[in-house]
Amino acid sequence: MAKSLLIVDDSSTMRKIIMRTIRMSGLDVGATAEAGNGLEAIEKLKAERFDFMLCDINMPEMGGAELVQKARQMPECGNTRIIMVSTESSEQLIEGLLANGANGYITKPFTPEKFHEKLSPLWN
Amino acid sequence: MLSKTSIEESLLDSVKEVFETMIFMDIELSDENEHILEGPSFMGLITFSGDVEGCLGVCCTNPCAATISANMLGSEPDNHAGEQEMKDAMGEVANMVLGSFKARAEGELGKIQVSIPTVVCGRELNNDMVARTEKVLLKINLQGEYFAELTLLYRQTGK
Repeated sequence: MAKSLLIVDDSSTMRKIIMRTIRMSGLDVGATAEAGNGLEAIEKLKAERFDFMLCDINMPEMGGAELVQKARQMPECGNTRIIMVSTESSEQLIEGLLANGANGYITKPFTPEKFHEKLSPLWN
Repeated sequence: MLSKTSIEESLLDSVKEVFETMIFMDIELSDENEHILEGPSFMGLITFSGDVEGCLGVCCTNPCAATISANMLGSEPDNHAGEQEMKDAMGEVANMVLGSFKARAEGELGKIQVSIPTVVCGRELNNDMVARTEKVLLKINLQGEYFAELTLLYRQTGK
Protein backbone atom coordinates (compact mmCIF):
# COMPACT_ATOMS: atom_id res chain seq x y z
CA MET A 1 0.00 0.00 0.00
CA ALA A 2 1.29 3.45 -0.93
CA LYS A 3 2.56 5.53 1.99
CA SER A 4 2.35 9.27 2.40
CA LEU A 5 5.59 11.12 3.13
CA LEU A 6 6.63 14.42 4.64
CA ILE A 7 10.23 15.34 3.80
CA VAL A 8 11.83 17.94 6.05
CA ASP A 9 15.16 19.47 5.00
CA ASP A 10 16.33 23.07 4.66
CA SER A 11 17.81 22.25 1.24
CA SER A 12 15.21 22.01 -1.52
CA THR A 13 17.76 20.08 -3.58
CA MET A 14 18.17 17.51 -0.83
CA ARG A 15 14.38 17.16 -0.50
CA LYS A 16 14.19 16.35 -4.22
CA ILE A 17 17.11 13.91 -3.95
CA ILE A 18 15.48 12.11 -1.02
CA MET A 19 12.21 11.84 -2.95
CA ARG A 20 13.98 10.55 -6.05
CA THR A 21 16.01 8.04 -4.03
CA ILE A 22 12.95 6.64 -2.26
CA ARG A 23 11.16 6.21 -5.58
CA MET A 24 14.28 4.48 -6.99
CA SER A 25 14.31 2.16 -3.97
CA GLY A 26 11.10 0.54 -5.19
CA LEU A 27 8.98 1.50 -2.18
CA ASP A 28 5.37 2.39 -2.97
CA VAL A 29 5.07 6.15 -2.45
CA GLY A 30 1.72 7.97 -2.28
CA ALA A 31 1.08 11.61 -1.42
CA THR A 32 4.12 13.68 -0.56
CA ALA A 33 4.77 17.05 1.02
CA GLU A 34 7.87 19.06 1.91
CA ALA A 35 8.93 21.40 4.69
CA GLY A 36 12.06 23.55 4.98
CA ASN A 37 12.47 23.37 8.76
CA GLY A 38 10.86 22.05 11.94
CA LEU A 39 8.37 24.89 12.29
CA GLU A 40 7.04 24.38 8.77
CA ALA A 41 6.86 20.66 9.42
CA ILE A 42 4.74 21.15 12.55
CA GLU A 43 2.23 23.16 10.50
CA LYS A 44 2.09 20.41 7.84
CA LEU A 45 1.65 17.75 10.51
CA LYS A 46 -1.26 19.67 12.05
CA ALA A 47 -3.01 19.91 8.68
CA GLU A 48 -2.44 16.42 7.32
CA ARG A 49 -1.64 12.86 8.45
CA PHE A 50 1.56 11.28 7.12
CA ASP A 51 2.69 7.68 7.30
CA PHE A 52 6.35 8.69 7.29
CA MET A 53 8.32 11.82 8.08
CA LEU A 54 11.92 11.92 6.81
CA CYS A 55 13.77 14.58 8.70
CA ASP A 56 17.16 16.34 8.61
CA ILE A 57 18.79 17.35 11.91
CA ASN A 58 20.70 20.58 11.28
CA MET A 59 18.13 23.11 10.11
CA PRO A 60 17.46 26.78 10.85
CA GLU A 61 14.43 27.90 12.91
CA MET A 62 13.80 24.46 14.39
CA GLY A 63 16.14 21.49 14.00
CA GLY A 64 15.29 17.82 13.70
CA ALA A 65 15.87 16.84 17.34
CA GLU A 66 13.37 19.42 18.58
CA LEU A 67 10.94 18.49 15.82
CA VAL A 68 10.95 14.83 16.90
CA GLN A 69 10.16 15.80 20.49
CA LYS A 70 7.33 18.14 19.46
CA ALA A 71 5.90 15.72 16.89
CA ARG A 72 5.73 12.94 19.46
CA GLN A 73 3.57 15.15 21.65
CA MET A 74 1.06 15.65 18.82
CA PRO A 75 -1.86 13.20 18.64
CA GLU A 76 -1.85 13.68 14.84
CA CYS A 77 1.56 12.00 14.69
CA GLY A 78 0.76 8.94 16.76
CA ASN A 79 1.20 6.59 13.81
CA THR A 80 3.78 8.58 11.86
CA ARG A 81 7.12 6.82 11.47
CA ILE A 82 9.95 9.32 11.88
CA ILE A 83 13.20 8.61 10.06
CA MET A 84 16.16 10.91 10.52
CA VAL A 85 18.26 11.56 7.40
CA SER A 86 21.48 13.38 8.20
CA THR A 87 25.25 13.58 7.90
CA GLU A 88 25.45 13.46 11.70
CA SER A 89 26.42 9.95 12.71
CA SER A 90 27.56 9.94 16.34
CA GLU A 91 26.13 6.99 18.27
CA GLN A 92 25.19 9.20 21.20
CA LEU A 93 23.14 11.50 19.00
CA ILE A 94 21.39 8.63 17.22
CA GLU A 95 20.57 6.88 20.51
CA GLY A 96 19.13 10.13 21.88
CA LEU A 97 16.91 10.65 18.83
CA LEU A 98 15.66 7.06 18.92
CA ALA A 99 14.94 7.42 22.64
CA ASN A 100 12.94 10.57 21.94
CA GLY A 101 10.70 8.90 19.40
CA ALA A 102 12.51 8.59 16.06
CA ASN A 103 11.99 5.19 14.45
CA GLY A 104 15.12 5.01 12.32
CA TYR A 105 18.21 6.73 11.05
CA ILE A 106 19.80 7.03 7.60
CA THR A 107 23.17 8.72 7.12
CA LYS A 108 24.12 10.82 4.10
CA PRO A 109 25.49 9.97 1.58
CA PHE A 110 22.86 7.33 0.86
CA THR A 111 21.75 4.98 -1.89
CA PRO A 112 18.32 3.62 -2.92
CA GLU A 113 19.43 0.29 -1.44
CA LYS A 114 20.11 1.91 1.92
CA PHE A 115 16.65 3.51 1.93
CA HIS A 116 15.06 0.18 1.05
CA GLU A 117 16.95 -1.64 3.77
CA LYS A 118 16.01 0.88 6.46
CA LEU A 119 12.45 1.68 5.39
CA SER A 120 10.99 -1.57 4.10
CA PRO A 121 10.70 -3.19 7.57
CA LEU A 122 8.62 -0.18 8.64
CA TRP A 123 6.74 0.24 5.36
CA ASN A 124 4.37 -2.66 5.91
CA MET B 1 45.47 13.82 16.85
CA LEU B 2 45.48 12.86 13.17
CA SER B 3 48.55 13.42 11.08
CA LYS B 4 48.18 15.67 8.04
CA THR B 5 48.66 12.64 5.77
CA SER B 6 45.94 10.75 7.52
CA ILE B 7 43.62 13.77 7.29
CA GLU B 8 44.30 13.99 3.55
CA GLU B 9 43.50 10.28 3.13
CA SER B 10 40.29 10.51 5.17
CA LEU B 11 39.21 13.62 3.27
CA LEU B 12 39.89 11.99 -0.10
CA ASP B 13 37.97 8.85 0.93
CA SER B 14 35.06 11.07 2.01
CA VAL B 15 35.06 13.00 -1.26
CA LYS B 16 35.13 9.77 -3.25
CA GLU B 17 32.25 8.33 -1.25
CA VAL B 18 30.06 11.40 -1.76
CA PHE B 19 30.83 11.87 -5.46
CA GLU B 20 30.48 8.21 -6.35
CA THR B 21 27.34 7.58 -4.27
CA MET B 22 25.32 10.77 -4.67
CA ILE B 23 26.72 12.54 -7.72
CA PHE B 24 27.66 9.55 -9.89
CA MET B 25 31.04 11.00 -10.88
CA ASP B 26 34.41 9.27 -10.63
CA ILE B 27 37.15 11.39 -9.17
CA GLU B 28 40.92 11.32 -9.22
CA LEU B 29 43.51 13.47 -7.53
CA SER B 30 44.87 16.02 -9.99
CA ASP B 31 48.58 16.69 -10.28
CA GLU B 32 47.97 20.23 -11.60
CA ASN B 33 50.06 22.76 -9.71
CA GLU B 34 48.57 25.86 -11.21
CA HIS B 35 45.30 27.50 -10.24
CA ILE B 36 42.79 25.20 -11.92
CA LEU B 37 39.53 27.09 -11.55
CA GLU B 38 39.06 29.72 -14.22
CA GLY B 39 35.99 31.93 -14.44
CA PRO B 40 32.89 32.22 -12.25
CA SER B 41 32.78 29.61 -9.53
CA PHE B 42 30.76 28.39 -6.58
CA MET B 43 32.20 27.51 -3.18
CA GLY B 44 30.27 25.49 -0.59
CA LEU B 45 31.56 26.25 2.90
CA ILE B 46 30.87 24.58 6.21
CA THR B 47 32.50 25.27 9.55
CA PHE B 48 33.01 23.05 12.57
CA SER B 49 33.91 23.61 16.19
CA GLY B 50 34.87 21.55 19.21
CA ASP B 51 38.21 19.97 20.16
CA VAL B 52 39.28 20.97 16.66
CA GLU B 53 37.75 23.88 14.75
CA GLY B 54 37.94 24.90 11.15
CA CYS B 55 36.25 25.11 7.79
CA LEU B 56 35.82 22.96 4.71
CA GLY B 57 35.42 24.58 1.30
CA VAL B 58 34.44 22.82 -1.93
CA CYS B 59 34.97 24.99 -4.98
CA CYS B 60 34.31 24.43 -8.69
CA THR B 61 33.36 26.41 -11.78
CA ASN B 62 29.76 27.18 -12.72
CA PRO B 63 29.55 24.51 -15.47
CA CYS B 64 30.89 21.92 -13.02
CA ALA B 65 28.38 23.02 -10.35
CA ALA B 66 25.60 22.74 -12.96
CA THR B 67 26.66 19.16 -13.74
CA ILE B 68 26.91 18.27 -10.04
CA SER B 69 23.44 19.73 -9.45
CA ALA B 70 21.97 17.90 -12.47
CA ASN B 71 23.54 14.58 -11.46
CA MET B 72 22.27 14.89 -7.89
CA LEU B 73 18.75 15.66 -9.10
CA GLY B 74 18.78 13.15 -11.96
CA SER B 75 18.10 15.82 -14.57
CA GLU B 76 19.87 16.43 -17.87
CA PRO B 77 23.06 18.46 -17.50
CA ASP B 78 22.75 21.75 -19.33
CA ASN B 79 23.67 25.35 -18.79
CA HIS B 80 20.23 26.35 -17.58
CA ALA B 81 20.43 24.96 -14.05
CA GLY B 82 19.14 27.65 -11.72
CA GLU B 83 21.65 29.47 -9.53
CA GLN B 84 19.68 28.53 -6.43
CA GLU B 85 19.81 24.84 -7.37
CA MET B 86 23.55 25.02 -7.93
CA LYS B 87 24.06 26.83 -4.61
CA ASP B 88 21.91 24.28 -2.82
CA ALA B 89 23.81 21.40 -4.40
CA MET B 90 27.24 22.83 -3.54
CA GLY B 91 26.13 23.41 0.07
CA GLU B 92 24.97 19.82 0.29
CA VAL B 93 28.23 18.51 -1.19
CA ALA B 94 30.20 20.39 1.49
CA ASN B 95 27.80 19.14 4.16
CA MET B 96 28.04 15.51 3.07
CA VAL B 97 31.82 15.53 2.62
CA LEU B 98 32.35 16.99 6.08
CA GLY B 99 29.80 14.57 7.58
CA SER B 100 31.58 11.61 6.03
CA PHE B 101 34.98 12.98 7.09
CA LYS B 102 33.72 13.54 10.63
CA ALA B 103 32.52 9.92 10.85
CA ARG B 104 35.92 8.69 9.67
CA ALA B 105 38.05 10.98 11.83
CA GLU B 106 36.00 11.70 14.96
CA GLY B 107 37.94 9.09 16.95
CA GLU B 108 41.10 11.12 16.54
CA LEU B 109 39.64 14.63 16.23
CA GLY B 110 37.31 14.37 19.21
CA LYS B 111 33.78 15.68 19.18
CA ILE B 112 32.98 18.40 16.69
CA GLN B 113 29.78 20.26 15.92
CA VAL B 114 29.01 21.18 12.35
CA SER B 115 27.36 24.38 11.09
CA ILE B 116 24.74 24.79 8.38
CA PRO B 117 26.52 25.17 5.01
CA THR B 118 26.75 28.44 3.14
CA VAL B 119 27.63 29.02 -0.51
CA VAL B 120 29.37 31.94 -2.16
CA CYS B 121 29.84 32.61 -5.86
CA GLY B 122 32.41 34.77 -7.63
CA ARG B 123 35.84 34.60 -9.25
CA GLU B 124 39.14 33.42 -7.78
CA LEU B 125 37.47 32.26 -4.59
CA ASN B 126 39.78 31.38 -1.73
CA ASN B 127 39.05 29.58 1.52
CA ASP B 128 41.27 31.04 4.24
CA MET B 129 41.15 31.79 7.94
CA VAL B 130 43.14 33.52 10.61
CA ALA B 131 46.68 32.44 11.41
CA ARG B 132 47.76 29.23 13.12
CA THR B 133 45.59 26.97 11.02
CA GLU B 134 46.71 23.86 9.19
CA LYS B 135 45.57 23.63 5.58
CA VAL B 136 44.88 20.55 3.48
CA LEU B 137 44.27 21.19 -0.21
CA LEU B 138 42.95 18.53 -2.57
CA LYS B 139 42.75 19.27 -6.28
CA ILE B 140 40.52 16.73 -7.93
CA ASN B 141 39.62 15.82 -11.48
CA LEU B 142 35.95 14.94 -12.06
CA GLN B 143 35.35 12.45 -14.87
CA GLY B 144 38.37 13.88 -16.69
CA GLU B 145 36.20 16.87 -17.56
CA TYR B 146 36.13 19.26 -14.62
CA PHE B 147 38.32 20.28 -11.72
CA ALA B 148 37.36 21.03 -8.15
CA GLU B 149 39.34 22.19 -5.12
CA LEU B 150 38.72 21.13 -1.55
CA THR B 151 40.34 23.03 1.27
CA LEU B 152 40.20 21.92 4.86
CA LEU B 153 41.41 24.47 7.41
CA TYR B 154 41.71 23.32 11.02
CA ARG B 155 43.35 24.01 14.34
CA GLN B 156 43.21 22.54 17.81
CA THR B 157 41.31 24.61 20.34
CA GLY B 158 42.40 22.93 23.55
CA LYS B 159 38.76 22.69 24.70
